[in-house]
Order: sequence, then C-alpha cells, then structure tokens
Amino acid sequence: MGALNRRLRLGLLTIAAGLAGMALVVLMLRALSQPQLRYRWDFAGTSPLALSQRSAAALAAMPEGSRATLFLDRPSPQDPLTFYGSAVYPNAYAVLRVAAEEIRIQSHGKVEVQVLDEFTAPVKVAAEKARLGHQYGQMVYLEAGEKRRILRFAELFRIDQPVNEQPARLHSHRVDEALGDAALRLGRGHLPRIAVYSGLLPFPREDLGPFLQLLASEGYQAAAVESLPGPGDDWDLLIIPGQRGPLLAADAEAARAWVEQDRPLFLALGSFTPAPAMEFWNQQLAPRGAAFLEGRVCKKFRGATGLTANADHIAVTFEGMQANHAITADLHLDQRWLELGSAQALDLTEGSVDYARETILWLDGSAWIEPDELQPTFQPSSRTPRGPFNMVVATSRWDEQDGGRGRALLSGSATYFVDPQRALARDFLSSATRWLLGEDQSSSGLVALQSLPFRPTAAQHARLANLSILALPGATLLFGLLVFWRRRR
Amino acid sequence: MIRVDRLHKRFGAVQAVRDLSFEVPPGEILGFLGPNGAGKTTTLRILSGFLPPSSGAAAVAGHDLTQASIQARRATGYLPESFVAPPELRVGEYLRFRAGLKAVPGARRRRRVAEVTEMLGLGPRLRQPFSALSKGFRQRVGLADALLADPPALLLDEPFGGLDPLQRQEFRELLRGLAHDHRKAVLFSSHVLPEVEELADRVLVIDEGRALALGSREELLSRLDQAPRQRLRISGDGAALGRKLPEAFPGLEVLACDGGELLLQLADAGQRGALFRWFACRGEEVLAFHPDTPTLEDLFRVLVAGAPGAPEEAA
Amino acid sequence: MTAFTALLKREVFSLLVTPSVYLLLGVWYLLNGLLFVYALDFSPEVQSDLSLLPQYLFGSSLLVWLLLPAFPPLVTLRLLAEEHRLGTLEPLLTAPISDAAVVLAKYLSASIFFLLFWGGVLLLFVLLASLGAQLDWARVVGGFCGAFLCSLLFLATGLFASSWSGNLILAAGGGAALNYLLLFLPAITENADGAVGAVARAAHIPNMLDRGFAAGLLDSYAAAYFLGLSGLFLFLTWVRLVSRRWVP
Repeated sequence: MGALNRRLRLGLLTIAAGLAGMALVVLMLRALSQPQLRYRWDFAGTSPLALSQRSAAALAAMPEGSRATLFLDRPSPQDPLTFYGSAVYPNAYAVLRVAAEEIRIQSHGKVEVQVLDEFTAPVKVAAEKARLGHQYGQMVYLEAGEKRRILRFAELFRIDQPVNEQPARLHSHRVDEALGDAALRLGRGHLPRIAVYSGLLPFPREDLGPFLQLLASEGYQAAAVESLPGPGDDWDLLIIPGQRGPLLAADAEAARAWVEQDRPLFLALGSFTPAPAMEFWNQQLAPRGAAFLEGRVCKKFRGATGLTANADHIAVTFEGMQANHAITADLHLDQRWLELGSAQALDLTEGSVDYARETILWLDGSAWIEPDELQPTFQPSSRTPRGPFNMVVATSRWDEQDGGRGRALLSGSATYFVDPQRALARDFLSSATRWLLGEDQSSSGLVALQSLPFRPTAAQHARLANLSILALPGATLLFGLLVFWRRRR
Repeated sequence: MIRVDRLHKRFGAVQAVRDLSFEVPPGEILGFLGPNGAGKTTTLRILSGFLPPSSGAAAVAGHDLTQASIQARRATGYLPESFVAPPELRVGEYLRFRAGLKAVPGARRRRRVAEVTEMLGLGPRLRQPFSALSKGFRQRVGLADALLADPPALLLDEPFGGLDPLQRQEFRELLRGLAHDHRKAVLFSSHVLPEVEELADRVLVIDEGRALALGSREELLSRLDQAPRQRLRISGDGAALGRKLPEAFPGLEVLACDGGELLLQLADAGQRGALFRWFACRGEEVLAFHPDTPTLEDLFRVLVAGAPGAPEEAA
Repeated sequence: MTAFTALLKREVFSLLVTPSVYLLLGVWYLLNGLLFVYALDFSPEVQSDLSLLPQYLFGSSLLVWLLLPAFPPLVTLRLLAEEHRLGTLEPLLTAPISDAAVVLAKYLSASIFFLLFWGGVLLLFVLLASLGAQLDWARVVGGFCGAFLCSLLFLATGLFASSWSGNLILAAGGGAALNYLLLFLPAITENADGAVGAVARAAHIPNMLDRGFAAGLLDSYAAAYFLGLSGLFLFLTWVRLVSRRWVP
C-alpha cells in the first residue's frame, strides 16, 4: 500500500510537471502561430512559392469558414500535357501543395484547405467534384459562403506545349497573383458589377437565371437589366446575351456611349438578330475591325449515333479554338468543344489602329452560311459562302492599361447563355467574363519556374548509383568494422 | 568530514534506514558493518547523492546533500557496489572523461589519471577496454574513479568484493594511507567481518536500517568483555558435567559445549580457582583453561542475532 | 560547464567508437541512396526539375516517413536505457553534474551525431552537383534544416523513451511509437472538424517539411514547433531523471 502510495505520488508529481511543461509549450506555440509573430522566408532560388503580402492580407481578410479545395488528381492519359513523360502536372502539383499550406497559414485558419489528390478516398473526391461541379482542368476552388472562384490550370500555370515529341514543360506560374485576386474578390465588399441586358432576349427570361447564378458564384454582382446602362452607371461589364430586335433610341444611345468609352462589352448576336440591329452594332464596332455577317452558319454534324446530319446546331472543336488566348486556352488544352446554335459569322474588317482583334473561335471549311434565314435547307450549294468562319472575336486596345477597358467579345451565337450549367458553356463564359474584366492579367504576377532538368548519361547514372548505393553505405560499414577491429586490440 | 543526522529512508512500506546518525571525521576510516539488506548500500547511495533521504540530514565536507548536492558530490569519491564503466571505453579514456566530469583542470587531468592508475597498478591496463578487465581490475578502476578528483571524502560500497587476498591487502594499505596520510574521511561498507576488523578505525553496526553499535573495535568489544568468558577443555564428557556446573556455581552459564570443550561465562573472576578444584574432585583433568577473547564476529552475532549478552543499542 | 563539455565529448566519442552505430548509419545511407537513385530514375517530376529532389528526399516520400521516426530512437536508446541496463548510470548521476546537464549533453551528442545521418544525404546532392547537375541549393539546405529539426524532435522523444526503462526494445519501440504518433496522428485527423482538426493541422509535420522547408520556405512556427516540442520532451526526460531525487 505504502509502495503504491509512493509510486502514485511520484507518478502524479511527474504527470503534473509534464502537464505544466506541455501547457507552456502549447501556449508558446499558440503565441508563435499568431500572424504578428509568425515569419516565413522564401529562400527558393528557382521559383519562389510563398504568397506575397498582398495575397496574405487578402486571405486573412476572407470571412470565417471560407474553403479552398485543390484538385490534384491524376491527369487523364489523353491530356497532351502528360505525353512524352512530361512532368507538368507533378511539378504543378508540387507548387500547389505549397500554396495550399500557404493558404492555410496566411488565412489564419479562416480558410479551410482541402487537398484532394490520388491518396484521398475516391468517394470523397467524387462527392466534392459533384458538389462543386468540377470539370477537368479546374484546380483550385476558393469559396466564401455562396461566392466561389475557380482557378483553372491555364490561369495558374504557363507551359511550353509539347512539340516534336518534346514533353510539355512548366515555365512559370502565377499562383500567388491568382490566389490573391480570388481572395480579394471573395473577401471584399465591392464586387465587380455586371449588367446583363435582358430587354431583347431571344429566349425566355427565366432561362437567364442559371447564367446570373454562375456569375454570382464566381464572385460578381450580376443583375439583369431591362435597359442598357447609361454613362453615369457604374457597371463594370455589359453583357448582351442575344438581341432579337433593334434597340430603343435611349438604349441605342447608351450602347453608343458604352462602346465609345471603351467599356468592357460582351455582345452575342445570332442569326435571329434582325439586320438593322446587326447593322447598328457593326457601325459601333467598326473601329474594332469586326463585323457580324448575315446568314445562319451551318455545319455537318456527326451525332453520337454516327449519323451525319446538317444542322445549324454546330460544335466548335478544340481545333477551332485559339490555343493562346486566355479565354480558350483551357478549352483548347482539354480538347473540348463549344456548341453554338443559330449562329452567324463575323468578318474581320479594317478597323482602327488602336485596336487589336483576334479570332478565338472559328469553323473550318466544312461550314457554310444558309442564306435564307426563313427557309433554311441545311444543304450547302455552290452559291453558299463556305468557311472558314470567325465565330467569336476578341478585341482590345493595343495600349490597354487598366483592367479590361477597351475589351470586347463579339460572339456570333448566344445559345450558350441558356444552359450555362453545361460544362463547356460554363467554362467559356466564366473565362470570357474574367478576360473582359481584365482579371487574367497574365503578364503580372508571373513567377518563372526555372526548372532544372537532369538527364544523366549512362556513365553518370552508373557513377551516381555506385556512389550512393554502394560506396557511401559500404564505406560506412567498412569504417564501422575498422573501428570494431581497432577498439578490440 | 561526513555527517549524518537522524537519517531516514523509506521505500513505501519498507523502512530501509531508521534514525541513523554518525560522523566520519577527516583521517578516519569508518567500517559500515551489517548483514545483507541492512541498509548499508541505501545509506551510501544517499550520501553519494544518488537517492534522496526521506528525512534527516546528511552533509559531506560541510555541503548539505539536499541543499548543495553538486558541491557535496564534488567532495565525494564514490565507489558503487558493482562498479561498471561503459564497455566501449578504454580504461584511460574512461578515467580522463571522469576527471573532466569532476572538473579536474585540463592541464592536471592526464597527470592525475597517471598518478591514480599508478597508485592502483592500472598502468598496463590503460589501453584495455573496460569490458576486457577482470573483476578485481574493474574494482580498481572504480576506486581510481573515486580518487581522481582527490575528494576529502570517500564512500566505498563493498570495495573488497571480487578481490583476491593479495589485492585486498594492497587495497587496505592504500585506504589506510589515504585516510591517515591524506586526511580523508573514508566510509566503507562490508559484510566481511575480518576486513572491517582489520581496516576500520571505528565500526558502525547496522541492521534493518538501524544503528546497533558505533565505536572503535576496542570500545565495542569491551562491552562484550564485561562478563569474563573462559574456554575450558577436560579429558572426560563435558556435557554431563556442564549440566551440573550452574548448580555448583551460582551465576555461571555454560555458553557452549562440544565434547570435552566448554565455553563458560563466569559470574566473577574468583570462580576460576573453585572450578579447578571442582573438576579435580570429580577426577577430571583440566587440559586447557584460558580466557576467551571476543571478536567483532561475536559482537556482530550478539547484536544482529540477538545472542545473550547483547549490549544496549548504541549509536 | 566543464562537466557538461566532458560528458558531451564522451557521448559523441562513445557513439563514434560503437560499431553497431555504423551499421545503423550504413543502413540509413543505403536506404536513402536507393531512394535517391529511385527518384532520379523513376520520378518524372524530379527528372524534369531537380529542384523537387529535396522535397523527395527530405519530405514527401513515404520511405522518409517510415525511416525518420524509427532511426533516432535507435540512436538514443543507448543514451539512458543502456546505461541503466549496464549500471553505468549510477556513477554518472553521482558525479558533480546536474541532471539537466546530463540530459542536455546526451541529447546534444545524439543531435550532433545525427548530423552525420543527414550529412550523408546532403553528400548525395553534392555528388549530383559534381556531375554538373544544377540544384536549387536554397531548397536543399532548407530541406536539410527541416529534416534535421524534425530529427531533433524525434531524438528528444527517443531520449524520453530511453529514460523510462533499461529494456532496449522498449526504449527503441516506445520512442518510435511516439514518433509515428506525432507524425501520422495529425495527418490522419487533419480533416476533422473543430479543435481536433485545427490542432492536427497545426501539428502536421509532413506539411511543414514537404510544403515548407523542402520547398525553400523557412517558417518560424514550424521551427518553433520542432524546437518547442523537443524542449518539452527534454523537460519530461529531466523530470523523469530528477524525480528519483524527489522526496516522496
């Protein structure tokens, strides 16, 4: 009993001392985890990975309960970025893993970080993908309440495409910039305001709902407006998702002012747009060097059953997408296509020298224009104009400075607004919106990833293997034996 | 100077040391005598600073063991009962390390190691690993370790264990020299009575953690000598006559009887002549008759085993 | 200080003259050498970018996480458990040196010795550079520092386990078990809700190394975590040693 008592008392004393020590260490660590006492130094010479003060502050200002979900799953074997033994994805994932830790630390626990990789339970990955409507190429989801920002591969990384059987290579990233932007967007009170003109919609107004939701989930303040905003309104972007009639005089005046002021514009017309309305826009957009053409664009369409049909419901494949433009780079990379309906083509005209224009979606020579809108035959004849056709043209000022001022996206079709929940449209629309608002800013915040490739020769390899597997351990064991022998004497 | 004052040590229900008090002044060797489990090692471990006392105080060279443990340890050379050194070290390496640990100045360290090893005959063994040494040499290494810092007090727990007779003799002389010539206070424990008897200036007998007697050999034995004992050998059967003796001589006791040999405790010295006459009357020839000189063994037996004639507890 | 230095020197010397420790070191080098060659041969990301090699060797491979917690207790088991078993602890603890100095000297000696473990891995990078490979030395050194800091923690837990028993298997096994617990428990519970998840994330060692030090990011918190926890286990070891002097 006495021995037990002694042991008990000693044990209790020891435990008490241990607990006191533990409490001290926990308090110390807690204090040192506070932002004002926590320091992180990025010494990496090749590609700094730490988030900038701007991004750190933006993350710290995010609301409590925000989430960051990173999808670092195994890339598809069909992805060209995996060809020829390319390590683009592993390298990108390495950067993102560090970023994930940075997000967690710099947000001071406000952002719950979740890395879903090949080691995560597939059920969980699938559940998160379903919840977020994840599509291939979407790497980071930053969420604050209902608001959400999606960072895609192409927004985060710059690569050299695989050419001549040379693997693709990651040459820079802008993870810090993109994360900072996203965090700022989600965390700040003022969101970019987008006016979606619903006065002359070619489809029922309620069909616009999903698109407005998409914009809201991307962190924008979007609203459907019945009349076009005037010069005094502080909208950041005007979207016209189709126009089935001419504008009223006041709206026409507002449109003219909007274009003259070089404010960002997403104009989608279609074969349903009457000629006067189209003419009006062609006049306004003449300095940009693009004009809508009359007639419905059709193309042979091979359906899932293998049957070929001619239709005005056409698909632009990845071959018809600009690989280097911020809007379509991802889609091109992922070899996706975009469906267009009731589409009209655009002509590139001689515009002002102030503007640059670039076709980002086009159709090849198999497309044609149905001249008769009212009685289409869906059969090309010798008289019908043949492709290639420009379907979506992006214009911007050469001297573009702040944000997306001067940017306009002219689309020959508006059908993809109706069903933005479909993956292709969703990605296209959100990329387009971002580009129009100047959020791509691909030139800034780029961090060069100076990769250090090493392909040893056979002789070098043998030397490495011999020294690291045989010589070093062997010499150590030999030295141990020598010590043993020397000490025994 | 080693000073122990009302020392108690309890391990749960077991009272290993009870109310122990003694002093070892400089220049004295105190033999700590007691059976196995008497509390000798526990007391030495307390004095070495390895264990804390449950109560009471102990000091070495004026340094209290609980208040100034490091200083007290610096003043102490301690040889544990089963001394072991790290097997991977050679004797010289180990002693140099211990000299450093005991803050022997760097310049003196090698010289001091050489002196001590020379003194203990360890010179030829300096390059041998400790694990290759015999028990006797290991013990010497332990003693060398205890002596390295030239401490004023030495605590040696069973220092003669494993030594051959010649080594014991050398060891005794060495300790005597250290105590008497170098004025060190030496406290050593042993349960080998002749060792203690031969070496100790004073003896502390301990059993069940309690001090039973403390004093010089003569002082302790004088307590046994209060009643004279005679060893007597007769030609006939001692047993039969031995039974009649107490009736004939009031106060006389027969302590032992083995054939014709009798060990008697006389009531007084005047009974000697009467005894001769008594045996002569019964036709018995007294072959030998001499006083029986008591030894520490007798004292130990008396004290520890509670044999008759045990003196009052001393301390 | 002299006593401390003497003990430190002796402990380092003892480690250097113990043949079994070289066996341990050799096995460590062999496994790391295999991992090194494997990374160069089979890891496309390392082949395309050698700046990822430090993350591979100092942080993100499972082999590192299996090896790292197991080896430090094999070094520390001899510091107290073996002394206890052999009986050499009593002469040491009765020498004029404080228990705290004993713990610190022993810990420091194991830490110095463990530099050899990671130094060998560092040598592999030097070897690579000597063949003309370009390296991001900030990441290499960062990874080395992180791995070493982590080893400091695992050595402290090993020493703590070593103070509990004279049984070497228990000392090594206990230390390794503690280390695996420190390593994998936060990794398993990092996605838990509430305080458990928050603590797990704050104690997530693989993240600190793989996404911190080995990526060239030096984090004051991660360093404080390793050093603070090391200090805690050293304190517990000291409590364990000194408690025998406490009067019950």
